[in-house]
Amino acid sequence: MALTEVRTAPRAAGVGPARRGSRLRPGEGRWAQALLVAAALAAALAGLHVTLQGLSWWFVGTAYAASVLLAAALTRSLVRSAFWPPIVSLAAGVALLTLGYAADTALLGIIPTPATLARFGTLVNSGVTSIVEQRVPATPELGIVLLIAVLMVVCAWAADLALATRHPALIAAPLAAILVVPMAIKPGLADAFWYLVTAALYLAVLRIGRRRDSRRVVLVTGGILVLGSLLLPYALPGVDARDAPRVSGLRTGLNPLISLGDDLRRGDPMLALSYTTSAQEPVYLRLTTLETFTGETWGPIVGSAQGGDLTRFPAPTGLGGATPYDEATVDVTVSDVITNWLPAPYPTTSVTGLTGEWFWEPDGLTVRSVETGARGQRYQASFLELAPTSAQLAVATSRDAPAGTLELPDGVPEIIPQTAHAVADGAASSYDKALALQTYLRSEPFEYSEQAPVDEGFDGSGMDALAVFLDRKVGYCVHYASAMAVMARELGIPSRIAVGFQPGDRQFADGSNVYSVSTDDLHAWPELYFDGIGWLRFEPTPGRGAVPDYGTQPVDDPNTPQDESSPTPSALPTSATDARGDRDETPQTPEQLAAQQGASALVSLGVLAAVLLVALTPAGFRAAVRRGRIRRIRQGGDAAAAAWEEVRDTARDVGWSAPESETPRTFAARIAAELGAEGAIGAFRGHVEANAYGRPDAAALSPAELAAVRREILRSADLRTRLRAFLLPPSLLYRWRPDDR
Amino acid sequence: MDRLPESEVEVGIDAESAAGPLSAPEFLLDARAVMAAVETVIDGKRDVIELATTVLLAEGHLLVEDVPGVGKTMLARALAKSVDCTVNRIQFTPDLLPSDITGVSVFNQVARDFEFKPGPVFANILIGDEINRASPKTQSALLESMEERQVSVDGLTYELPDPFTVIATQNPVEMEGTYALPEAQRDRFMARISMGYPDAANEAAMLRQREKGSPLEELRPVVTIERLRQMILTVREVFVSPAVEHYVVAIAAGTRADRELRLGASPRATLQLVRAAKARAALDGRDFVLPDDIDALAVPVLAHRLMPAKSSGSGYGREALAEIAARIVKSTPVPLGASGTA
Repeated sequence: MALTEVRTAPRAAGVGPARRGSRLRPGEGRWAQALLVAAALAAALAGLHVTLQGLSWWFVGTAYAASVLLAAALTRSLVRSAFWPPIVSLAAGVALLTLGYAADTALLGIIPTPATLARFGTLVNSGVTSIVEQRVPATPELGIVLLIAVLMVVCAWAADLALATRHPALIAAPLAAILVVPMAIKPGLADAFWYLVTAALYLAVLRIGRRRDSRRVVLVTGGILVLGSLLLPYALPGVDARDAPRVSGLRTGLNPLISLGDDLRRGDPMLALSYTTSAQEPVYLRLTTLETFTGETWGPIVGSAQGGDLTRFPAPTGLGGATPYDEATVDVTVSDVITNWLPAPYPTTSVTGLTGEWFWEPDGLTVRSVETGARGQRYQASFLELAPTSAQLAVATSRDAPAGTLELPDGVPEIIPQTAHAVADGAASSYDKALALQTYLRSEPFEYSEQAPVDEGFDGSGMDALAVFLDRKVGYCVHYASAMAVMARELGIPSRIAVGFQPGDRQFADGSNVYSVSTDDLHAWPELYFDGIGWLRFEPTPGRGAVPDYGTQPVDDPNTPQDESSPTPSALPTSATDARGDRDETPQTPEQLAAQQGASALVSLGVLAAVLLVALTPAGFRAAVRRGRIRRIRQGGDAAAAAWEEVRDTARDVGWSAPESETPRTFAARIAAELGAEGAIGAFRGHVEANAYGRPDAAALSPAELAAVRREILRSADLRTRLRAFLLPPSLLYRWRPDDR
Repeated sequence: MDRLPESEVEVGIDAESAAGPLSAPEFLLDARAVMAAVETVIDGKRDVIELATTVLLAEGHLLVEDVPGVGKTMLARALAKSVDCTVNRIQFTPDLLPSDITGVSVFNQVARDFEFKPGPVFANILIGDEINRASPKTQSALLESMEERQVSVDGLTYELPDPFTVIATQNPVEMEGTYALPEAQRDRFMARISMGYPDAANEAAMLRQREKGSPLEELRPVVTIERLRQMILTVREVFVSPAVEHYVVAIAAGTRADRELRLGASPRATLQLVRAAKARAALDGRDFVLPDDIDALAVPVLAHRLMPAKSSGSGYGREALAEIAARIVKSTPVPLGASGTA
């Protein structure tokens, strides 16, 4: 029509702006979306509350995330550019981090300089160290809060980028990055509530930004989220058991006592090291000694000297010439301990066979390294087996105490000196007092339990924890060692705490005794100082370790076999067997291994079943929808609507569009053109029309006819499309993502 | 068409019509005869002829709008002539008076009384040529009779014959010497169509034909007026399901809510859309209306009643409004059942 063509040009120009007007205006919902994203990030961060104390870190992290999002949104409302907002928001994040943590090193307080980077490096290092060292929930130290702030800045920036590029589904990545932190630190701690809140907010973000996303992104992300949340609980403990450092507290070189309880409670013990020895008695291998009691915990003496010649150790402190001893050696193979201390007997005289740089510390005769770890080392240590005589011990005093080994802080709870004096005041010598303390702690009603102090809130080696421990009379080696050391100091006997491994299980192999020491043999014990003899080991923990023969009552119980590696029933309270029973969960025998493998096969089957269930859920849902429609067809009423919805959904399943604004006739014609033949759909369309729009006396629809139409449509698609139509029918998403009309 | 037995004995609304509605084959035969007759005069405009026939059978009035010389009047006359009924034609001019259309009361000296002389409006089919050349006063005189199907002169009311259909032609509003029809008056036309130029082959065929004389002269009526009334009755009997009613209402609501429109479709527009759809369904051999009928007729029935949101300077014309109407129709979900769900 020439007439209309003549007029088309000017009018089409007039139509243009009107069309633009009907579209979503740019910027609509942007603020709401940014707010939702900030809320989602804050919710994800809140999930960290299980790992950190207090709330200050949460406010800091949320403020940083909100600042980045605010900067991006402000820039976007001022500048119509895709390029600047991410730049500005990142710059804002960096500037605020600088202002908050290293303002004095920066230009104008916000522009980072190399000094700022160095400061950040230091802080981050201290944060990482602090994370590794601290027990959960940790104190949010400056470094940790900085790490959180950096994490939030990066995540907020990434989330904003995802929004800006119109892929809101991708903000799942930063959210997951935050959510995974508590899981990585301690699986089983994660708070499902905040996980769900985050998920809900995430869905809200998607809802606002929905038209912008491709269906595939939503499908893939949704699938990953669903599968991930189902499988993560299975996957995580495995990750933890195999990859996480086993004896985490030892690795840092600071204070193993704090995390010792956690290490013991971790369960699933592994072989830490094995050794053979020429000594008469099983050997206690020490990692380090802790001499300073602050009232809160035990700590090492800071700044002690060190020496590098491992073939010649200094003489043990206080060891006089009168004390008899045997020389003995121990050959150690370390398998799976990550630590910078070398497990060594006391008092060591030389160590050979080590690789890497190692040095000894003169006070405790401990061996450590800065660079090298003990893992995988094979070495021989020579040491002295002290055998002080009873006469020596009976007269031993403690006048020449090494510095700091008698110091107690102010405010020691009354129960500690009371108990110490009540137990030991009848004893004649210092040594007898020490023995009395040991006997008291090893006997009824004291019980060994790694869990009870945690449950009842007195875990630790501090004074307050000790007071509760002496009242409750239940705890594990840290409590016993600390209690005996503190009480010894109350009685004027110098004391310190050694951390290391108890002797472990003896096995007879290759003609000699091989001791296997597992991570559950990690132990703490007190060492007491006597003039002329030096430091002597005591074993106050019931059911653990071996009581040294100079430590048993030679008069009361002369027949006690003292060279047993495992405690003898006569020397131990009944709880000892319980304690051993706990640790015997270590799968050692083939039967146990087989059982464990069977269990893991069951778990795998369960996971497989869960995956299958998840994979088939959409198909099941689709089938249920179809059955519901067939029922509606049989019942009459809105049979036509049910039938035609099913036809349209089938078409959507194979990837065709089926807008609701299309009449059955138009749609059927289009489908017939796609199929290349009128076929069953033409006739069916006629029946549907008569049912939907005709007089009420129209013939009823038959489900068989519908099935024929479905077959016709499905047959036209290739195998892959049909498989997708079955497993992930796109029609299920139609309610949320309608076709463009 | 499957007629129910009782509908056959239904007596026509018109007193003159003894017969009831027609059966589907009878209806189709006659309707196609009319269209074929018109087609001998207007070549290659099948869709326009079909729409014009639809309006005639739906008891509506038709507005044919296009530039001069494309056969608007020819269409009107051919349609009128193919039915054996009274036909009048008014050529609208600026100096035409209302009484020139409706008729006047003159004093009869013999009877010593006023006597009404009916005007050209008293006819079954009234052809109003170039209706937008008349003054608004005259236009409104015609438009009143279109709606009321009666004429009031000097306090007396005179019924117009049944059926009464106005086929008005008008030049596009941009042309010189025209008074645009106000929207209230445009609203009274059931549909507006434009002829468009014939394609090359049809134009050549027309040239050859016209050399021998006008084919209009040779056109003979193919249906009687009684038959036409029966056909109209048949159309009235076409069934409209609640789903289709929902659909029409939804489309009308869509035009009222659209941001690009200042004025949407009136309730009269919905009524006429359904009536026209019934005629189209009957012409298609159905006894019930489909959403497809609505879709096909929505633009010609609705577009001329809409008013764009912005001033109608050069921005919005016929095509733009037609596009808006088409977009609204295309975006309205089609209900599939009485519940109105899609």
